[in-house]
Parts: sequence; structure tokens; C-alpha cells
Amino acid sequence: MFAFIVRRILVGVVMVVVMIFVVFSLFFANGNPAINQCGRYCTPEKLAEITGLLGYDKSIPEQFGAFTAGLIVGRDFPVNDEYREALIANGYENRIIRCDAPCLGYSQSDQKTVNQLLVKAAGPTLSLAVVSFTIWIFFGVLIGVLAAVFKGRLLDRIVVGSTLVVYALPVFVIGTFFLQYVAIKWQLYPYPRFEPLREPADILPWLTSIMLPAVTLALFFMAAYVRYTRAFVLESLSEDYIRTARAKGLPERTVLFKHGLRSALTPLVTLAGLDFAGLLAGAIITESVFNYQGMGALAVKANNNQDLPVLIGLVIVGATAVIVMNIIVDILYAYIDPRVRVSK
Amino acid sequence: MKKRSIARWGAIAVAGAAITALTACGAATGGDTGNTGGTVTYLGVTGQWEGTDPATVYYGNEIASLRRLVYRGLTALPISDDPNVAPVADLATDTGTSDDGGITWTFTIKDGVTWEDGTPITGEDFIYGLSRSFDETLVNGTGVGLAYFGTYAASVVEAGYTGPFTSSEEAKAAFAERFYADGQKVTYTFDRPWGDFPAAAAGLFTTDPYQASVDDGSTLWEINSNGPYMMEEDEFDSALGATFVRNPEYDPATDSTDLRQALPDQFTFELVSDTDVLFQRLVADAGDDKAAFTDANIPATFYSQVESGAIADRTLKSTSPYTRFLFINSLTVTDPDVRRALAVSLNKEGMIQAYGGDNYGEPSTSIVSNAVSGFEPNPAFADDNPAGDPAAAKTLLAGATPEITIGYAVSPTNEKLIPVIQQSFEAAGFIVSTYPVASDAVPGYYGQMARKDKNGQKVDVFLGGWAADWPSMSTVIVPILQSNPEGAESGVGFNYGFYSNAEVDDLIEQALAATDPAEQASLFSQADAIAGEDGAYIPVVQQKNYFLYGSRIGGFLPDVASSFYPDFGSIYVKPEAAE
Repeated sequence: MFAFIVRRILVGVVMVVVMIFVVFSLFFANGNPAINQCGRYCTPEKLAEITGLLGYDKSIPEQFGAFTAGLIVGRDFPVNDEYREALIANGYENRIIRCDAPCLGYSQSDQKTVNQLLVKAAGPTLSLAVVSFTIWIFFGVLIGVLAAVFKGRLLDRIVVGSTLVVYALPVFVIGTFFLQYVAIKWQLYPYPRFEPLREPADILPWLTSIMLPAVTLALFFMAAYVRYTRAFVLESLSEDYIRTARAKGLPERTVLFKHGLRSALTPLVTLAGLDFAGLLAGAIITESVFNYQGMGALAVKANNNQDLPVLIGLVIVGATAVIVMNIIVDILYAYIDPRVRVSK
Repeated sequence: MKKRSIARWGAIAVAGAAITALTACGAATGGDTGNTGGTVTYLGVTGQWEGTDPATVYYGNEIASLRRLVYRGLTALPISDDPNVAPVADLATDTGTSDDGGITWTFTIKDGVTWEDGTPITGEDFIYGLSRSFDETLVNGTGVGLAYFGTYAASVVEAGYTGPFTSSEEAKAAFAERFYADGQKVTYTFDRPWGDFPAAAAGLFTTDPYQASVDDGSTLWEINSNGPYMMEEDEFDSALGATFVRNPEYDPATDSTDLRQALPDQFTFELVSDTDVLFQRLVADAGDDKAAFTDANIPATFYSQVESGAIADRTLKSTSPYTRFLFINSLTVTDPDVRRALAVSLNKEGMIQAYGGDNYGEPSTSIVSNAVSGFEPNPAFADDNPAGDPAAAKTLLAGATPEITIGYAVSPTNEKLIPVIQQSFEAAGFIVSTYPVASDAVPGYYGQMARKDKNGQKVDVFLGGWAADWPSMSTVIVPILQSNPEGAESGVGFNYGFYSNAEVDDLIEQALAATDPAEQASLFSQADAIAGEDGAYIPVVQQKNYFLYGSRIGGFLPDVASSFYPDFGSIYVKPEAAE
């Protein structure tokens, strides 16, 4: 098992390094962060001047070298050595921004390191991911199992029909409905403003603040997971070993939860792990609708501002989250299904 | 020589200025105050603020709010529904003195004025604040103050001065020679007369003081207050806003209620995801939102909800300093008759419908807004049919069918405008094509239009808009109509049409040197009239404001001082019973 984990981690590290190189090359080959300092009356001359001043006129390999070095040992901004020297010579060294390793870059439009922006955005995104994940896994699996157990009966038909409707509804429709009708027009729920979770006393306000966007997001996933769970459970319940278990006289509850559900869990874990990892990169639509300043909203803002360092940082963090969750899923998978370990 | 103050700009009789009647909800002006206490919520849309560092702030609504709450300047415009309001002293003891016709200005800073940490504000703070405005990277590209200083203090810019952080010793010496402090006395010496400098100091943050000890590399979203309120958080959140509470170091004795009544205990700036959410909340008028307001205009989709019933009492219409117009590229459309034909043929009324209808604005006759002191309708356009007159245009063209390309930035509104413009020109006989500039183009729309060669594209007519930086015609006529320097590859100021007329330039020079505000306004109007006859531009729309606010908001007054956005200086929370 240990060798299996080490092997998976090493492959993950290689994937992250390759991904960083590809992302950096793609973005910087066709972009220039100095555009953010040039304003809306930016002329080519002014852009060229500011590009040089900020040090973004270097070749892509040079900039990638500096970026990689920043990941390992940190960086100072502005990146232009002469500009920094002039600041020091004029007694303004306090205007040099130190970005400690692993430095993901500097946002010219926000005058903050990408690390600072990502840390700030992590709170709402993690909150949204954890709460919505809990809701959709709990209710999705529960309702899915019930639908499977009552296959073909009224409950099953209602569940199957309603999940189809919810799944077909775009997230922004559900979110806008919650925000503009439930919260603003009918005032059935407090207007959602994100409250950070710093101490135990914050749990209730935090949960209250996150509930509407979390339910918005969870409904979409829940609808899918009800159908996945129903299908997986039905499939496993039709296996020969289930018939054997029933023939042995085991109680139906044991047959369902010990034998049927465990088998159905294996593919669900894979799906859930990847979906959760995707959420860690930000729920762009939900965060935008509710104005929750998580990774998704940061991505939208960075895209609008053509803020390349932030976009690169977000892609790196998002992709790393997916790779890490893949490793965790692989390990869980191996734990749940020993055949995976054996087959390597 | 006896010193005399010429800082009486703005106090001009506004002949014909069509200031829309202001029926503010109990707007308290001139010391007539409302209730003290409570929290006022300002609602805005996330992402629209570009910074709170005074060197960066550029937009009228941002200047309007911060000027009243946290950033006091040398001078300020008072809260007033008088369109002819003049600047008054703020942190300075008077509106400045000049004994050489506006070249040298001297101000004395009041005693007892402090930063939020209690440190006294000194003359040096003003010089340091001004010096920062010369740093291109700090001003985040907007650089409006730098543009004006590049005109009036060109020698400092030409000496290579780029702010305090990176300038050479020679450049610093050139700056220090022009701008210096002696204790509480601050002196500004320009290359040419700047008659309305006190008004510029009120309307821009360029000359505002800055405390050097708090200046570091990340000041974009910081606010170091010297006003009645201070920011509770360390930084303004560009996506969510900030909370402003009372500044314990602020001494009302150093200020005037004509400028800041500072009635609420707190101002909450709350930014929401989009305009629809913002207006849904104001329409609902529930809970804390009863004491909320916005400076955004009511979208057309909400007109049916707000134009009748009790909610209509919570709306207010006013004029705006913004005008929309069409630039004419004078380098490619050289025949004045063709330029006039373009102007005569344009269906302005159709364009206004595309913009959003009568609540958006009305047909205009100048690039100058009727909200600007000294405004006069441009006689060259006064008799043009706002629905367009293709027959008259055809007469001017005398059978010719010139090829015209219209440049525009791609946006939902512009996509509706362009067909109207195209049909107008085609009806007059022009052969029309378009040059759309995508929103993510680099350089952007104005970056391309600023270029003399229009970035290598054939562009003859293009969409534009402008608002006065302070309520003076100098901030409109000079940037748009004064000839660009010889050899300039990009338009200076906002003269992106590369219009050039020696007679207009001469009148502008005379106006800038004029010490009498009425004379200056008259000279600018003459310059505008000549440019209009010459077909320098095509006026389209005089914009209007249409505001909605909560039922407990009092003192809601869009005024000259706040660029016709709601004045934060007079707003208060009405008691429950007074709703």
C-alpha cells in the first residue's frame, strides 16, 4: 500500500510541474500583465513604456525561469531590477513587495501577490465546497438509495422525475431565484453575505450566510447523485452475491447497506472526489450570482482584467487540487476495493 | 504688488443652462441639517471601483463620495442645488491667492487638521501627494491629474519627473522648483496661467495631501482619512466594499457644514453582483435597505416598477455632466461640408431610444454638458433636426457618396446604436462600413482611437463620451478641441479626432489666460461654436440621471459638487416616523 501511495504522489508531482510549464507558456505567450497598469486610454507607446518599467518585456523563458525561481525561493516585485534599484536609491525600498515561496506571482491590477488573493478567496470557496458537498452527498445518496429500494413505485417515480427537472435547471436560474425572490422580494431568508468562520461562535452565522449558495450548488449535484446512486445500487442489488446473501436469510437491511451499498460506493467515491476537487477551483456561476468572492469570482475578475498572474495562479491551484484529489481517490479506491492494490 | 484672489471660478451666470429641476427629498444645504445618527448604505456594483488611493481615483462618483467622507483637499465645492456654486476653502485657509494672473498659487494649510492617526497635516504632505500623481504606475493608467499638469507644468514633465520614487535628482529639482512647501504654506508655480486651479483642486484628488509615512507598495485600496469618517477595514474590498465609521481625530471646527454635514454615524459601502440585484433591493425597501441609496441610474427594465405609486416618491431626476458624441476623424474627413453633412443627417432621437429612451438623455447641441458652468448651446448645431435631415445632408454633399467607416467598441448598447447611425448616414448618401473593436482587444477601443493612424484601420467617425473633470468648460473644450502637438502619434487629452484649427487654438489660449470667469466661458463658447461650424464633432445626447433611494434616506441631492451624483455630505437617515 505504501509503495502504491508513493508512486501515485510522484506521478502527481510530475503532472503539476508539466501543467505549470504549459499554463505559463500558454498565457504569457499571448498576454502582458502590464496592460492592467495602462488604463483605458492605453496607447501602444504607453503600454510599451509600462511593460518595460514593470519588467514584462523579457522573453518567455526568462520570465518562466523567474516564475519558477519564485515558486522555490520567492520573488520581489516590481520585477524590473532597475526599477527596484531606483526605489532603493530614492529611499523607497518599502515599496518593494516581497512575495515568499511558493510565490505564484503578483497582480498589477490589485497590487497584491497572487498568494494573498488566493488565500483571501479560499475562505468562501472552501466553505461553499464543504457545505454543498455535505448536502449533496447526504441527501443525494440517501434519496438515491430510497429510489432504488422503491424502484418502480410512486416514490421512485417522483424522485426520478424531480431530479430530472432540477438537473435540467441551470445553476444561475436557481441562484437568481433564491437571491432575488427568496431573499430580496419575499424576504424568507436573510440576504446572503459571506461571514467567515474564525471561531466556534461563528458557526451559526457562517452556516446561515453560506446556506443559499450552498443549496443552489448542491441541488444541481444532488440531482445527479440521486440518479448515480439509484443506478449503482440497483446494479449491485442485481448481482449474484446479493441473491446469495438473501438466500442465506440475511436481513434486507444488512443486504442493502453491507453488501449492496458498499459495492455501489466505489464508483461514487471517484465521482465525488473529482467533483469536490472541481469545486475547490471555484464555483464560478454560484459565486458570481451571490457575489461571494471565492476562487470562481476571482477567476471572473482576473479574466475581465486580463490579470494573467492571477489566472495562472488559479489554474495551478485548481489543477493541483484535482491532481491531489485524484491521488486521494486512488488511495480510497484501493482501500475500498483491494483488487486495485493487487493489480497496481 | 497687492495680492488678489482670482478663485471665483464657477460663480458664473449660466445663461441658458438647462439644469433639470431638482426636487430633492428634503435636501439639507447651507447648514440646514437633518437627523444625526444611523447607518446609510451605499449600494454599488462589484468591480466598478478601480482603487481608493487618491492618485488613482478618477471617476466622478468615487471622487464625490470620498471627498465628503475621507479625503479633504485644498478646496472643495459646497453642498448646494445652485448650479453656479464656487469652490470654498477646505484644508486650506482660503481658496488660494495668486498675484501673477494664475501662474503662481499660494495656499496656507489650516492649523488643527490631522490624519486619522492624529498626525497634523503639513504643507509637505500636499507636495508629497502631488508628487505621487506623477507616477504612471501608481495612477493605474488613468492619470487625469497628470494630463492637466502635463499642460500647465509641462516643464516638470519634460524634465523627466516621474514621481518621487524613481525620478532623477535633476527631475526632482525641476519639480521642487515649481512646487514646494514652507511650513503650512504651499506654493504651486505653473508654466502658464491656470485660472481655475482652485476649482481643479476641488474636483480632482491630484493635489490632495498624502502622508509619506504610510506610503508603501500596496496603497491601491488603502484609505488614510483626514475627513469625518475613516475606513474600519484595512483595505477597501473592490468586490464587496467597506465600512466607514466616525474618525475620532476629525475636528468639525476645522470644517464647514456647507461641505460636510457628516450626519450618519456610519456609511456602509456594499457592492453587489449586478445592477438588477441592487435595484431589486431598493425597490423592496426592506430592513436596512430603507436607508440605502445608489449612484447608479435606474435601468430601463425597472421603469415600469418605479414610475407610479409610492415608489415614485423615492425617485429623482437630474442632469448629468456626461455627454455622448461622435468624433469625426479630421485627418480622413477633410471636407467641412462632408463633416457637416454627417452631423445634419444623424438621427439623434433614434440613438437616444437605443441608449434607453428619454430617461437616458435628450438630444444635445455641444460636447459641453448643460451641467457645466458657462454652458451655452453650440449655435452650429442648435437648428439641426434631432431626428436627422438626410435631404439637407444630401444638399451639402452635392451628389457625392463618400465612404465612411464607423468605429465603435463592441457592447450590447453599441450594437443597437450602430444600425441607427448607419441608416442615418446611408439615407444621406454615404457608403457606410463599420470597425468594431472587441472588448478584449489590445490596445483597447480608446487606445486604438487615440492613435493618429487609428491603429492602421480606416476610421472616419467613432463613438465617444466625456464629462467635465470639474465644472468648467476648460475641462471639455481644451482636451477635445485643442490641436495636438505637431508630430504626436496619439491624441493628447481627448482630441482623438485630431481636430486642428488655429482660430480655435487662439481662442483657447485667450480663455486659459483670462482671469474673469465670465470672459473665459465666453471665449470657450466661441471656440466651441467655430469648431461646430467646422464639423469637429457631432453632438448626440445630453445624459440625465434617474435615481432611486430608500424610504428613510434624507438629504438626497445630486449637485454640481458631486458631479450630479448624490452628495454624501448632505445625506442622512430619517427617523422611522418620518418615512
